[in-house]
Amino acid sequence: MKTFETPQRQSPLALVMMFFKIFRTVITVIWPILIGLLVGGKKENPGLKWLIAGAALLLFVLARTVLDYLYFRFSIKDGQLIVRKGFFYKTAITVPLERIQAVHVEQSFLHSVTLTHKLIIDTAGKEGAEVTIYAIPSSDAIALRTLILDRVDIRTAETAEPETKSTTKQVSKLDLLGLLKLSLSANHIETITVVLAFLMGRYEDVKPLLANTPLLKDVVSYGETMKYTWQLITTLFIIVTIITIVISCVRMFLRFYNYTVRMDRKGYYIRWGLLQVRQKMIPFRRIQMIRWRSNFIRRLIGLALLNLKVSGTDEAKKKVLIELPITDVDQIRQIVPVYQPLLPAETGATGQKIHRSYAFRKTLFITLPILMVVAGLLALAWQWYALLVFIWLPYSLGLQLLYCRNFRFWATPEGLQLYKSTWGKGEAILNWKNIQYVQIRRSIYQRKNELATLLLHTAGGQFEIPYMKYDHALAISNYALFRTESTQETWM
Amino acid sequence: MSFSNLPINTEGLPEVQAVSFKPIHSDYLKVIKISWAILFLVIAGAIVTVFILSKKLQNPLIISIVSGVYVLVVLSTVVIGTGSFRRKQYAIREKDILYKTGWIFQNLHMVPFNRLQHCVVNMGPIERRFGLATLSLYTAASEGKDITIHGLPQAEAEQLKELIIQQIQALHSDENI
Repeated sequence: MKTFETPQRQSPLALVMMFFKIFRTVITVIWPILIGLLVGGKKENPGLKWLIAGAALLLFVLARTVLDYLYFRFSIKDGQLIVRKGFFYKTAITVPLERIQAVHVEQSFLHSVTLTHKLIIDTAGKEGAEVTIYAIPSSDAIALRTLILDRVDIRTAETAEPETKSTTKQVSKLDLLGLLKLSLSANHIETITVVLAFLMGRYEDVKPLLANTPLLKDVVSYGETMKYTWQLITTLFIIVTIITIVISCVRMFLRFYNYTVRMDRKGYYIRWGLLQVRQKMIPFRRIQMIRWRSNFIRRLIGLALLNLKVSGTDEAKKKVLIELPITDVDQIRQIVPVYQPLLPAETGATGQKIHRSYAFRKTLFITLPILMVVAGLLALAWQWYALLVFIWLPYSLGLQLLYCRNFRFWATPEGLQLYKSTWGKGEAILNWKNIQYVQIRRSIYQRKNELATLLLHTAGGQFEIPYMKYDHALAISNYALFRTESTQETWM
Repeated sequence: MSFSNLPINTEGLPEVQAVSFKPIHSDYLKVIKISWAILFLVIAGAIVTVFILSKKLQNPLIISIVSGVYVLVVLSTVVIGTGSFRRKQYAIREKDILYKTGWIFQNLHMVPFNRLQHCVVNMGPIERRFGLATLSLYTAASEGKDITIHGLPQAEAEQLKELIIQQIQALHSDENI
């Protein structure tokens, strides 16, 4: 098998991939200037102006691409992945193979035609060091991944029970019906908020374009003069709802199409993609916490989204958002045991509650100030009718009281688990060994009432139990410290 | 696969609540008072400059509001900061470090040595004058702040750093065996 000891460049196809990436980055930065050029300025020789600007842009991107390609070399020597890159700003990344967290293999249509793969090597460390090889021959990609993962999993292999076969087992596969259910039950309010926020954010930028384009100009002026009747508002509402559902469906199809989760003794292998097939490998030891949640509709039809909280930097976490769609509760029982053999809630231990004053405090200090600000803003247009927003207050309080009534947490020698629900529901489990440090927070009110908020910090996020009894928080903290300090078991 | 499900017995465990905490050095209050004085003088200077340059702002009502807000911010910073200073206490045990902070919202951080990635000793110019240092402890926790203990005597901060580094290196050598 190839050893990669000699520094080597990527496949020439990487030039194409890098070109588009750099082009996209440049366009993202300069697009408001381009719109300004399009709609503003003098109209003398616009063609020539565009030709010069386009040629300059193309030349810059091309030069940058070629330099980036020529000055990028990677190798594996003395158990270290060495990457040297950059022409003006030179960077040398040296990563011991044991520190590599995951190797992601992706193949777009262009890759599959040219028999190449893209490799993303996710490394540990706070600096977010991540190596992307845009294209290398498929055989090299597989050899490199195997070479790295063999070293990554030395510790796992040493401690794991020997297996007769290293074959992968399918844990879940999202079929078309499951995908459709997931799409229709998505949070459409979130989708419309994202779309509206995007449109409002961009409106000011494209305003000059709207004012100068004949058809769009007419639509805008018609919108400003038309009367908003109830029929019109209802029609607009229906149109917006349909568009939102369609956008939600497209988002879900792009995100979860053909979503397959397989596992072997090393970790999970996740594969998905509609336009571009993607694969990710998550070693088990990198999982720091597991959460799963369902909104109201998904709860009714037995769907959930399961989050594997993995260690890494914020930047890496954004890219490696490991969210598994669950269409059957049994799938959770197959995924969770590698992290925690038995759920604390299923050990027969009694679930502990949180204090109901949490609901009143949250309503008083979070909901009420937000409503006051909203009412203040709405009062500018609606005058006294703005006070109607305070109808939300009793609803919010009721919801918070329901949250407190349903909240349960379990602390057993296996780990911690919490359950919370109002309309939807969510659960989380945490293994003691994954705790990085423990924090107890107390406000004046909590101190008077012998309450505390317990925060267990992990490399994959924090596990929070609000408004619990202070002596319970201390007991859990003492036990958490005992579990983390009495063993040299690694947390990753 | 061996599997056990024993009830948790927390009675015999070392208790955080039984630990006696040590306050940070009293001179650190002088350090923060000097820092506030410099900060608020700079802010006051900037505000006065803006008022001198802008004729529109030279209105008794605006001047009163800005002065009122400024005095309120200074007073609240001094009161809350002094209260917080008195609450800052730390304790070092065999296997972890404990740190109490906050006056209105009180926090107790408990950091096991075997979870520390590295630690740094910082000494600002004012701290140096009083022979004090700040020790920052870094874990791999992705959310929440890293723990920073201000107002330690320089020698103690260095000793603590050495102790922590030794603990981290001992753990790594154990892993490599």
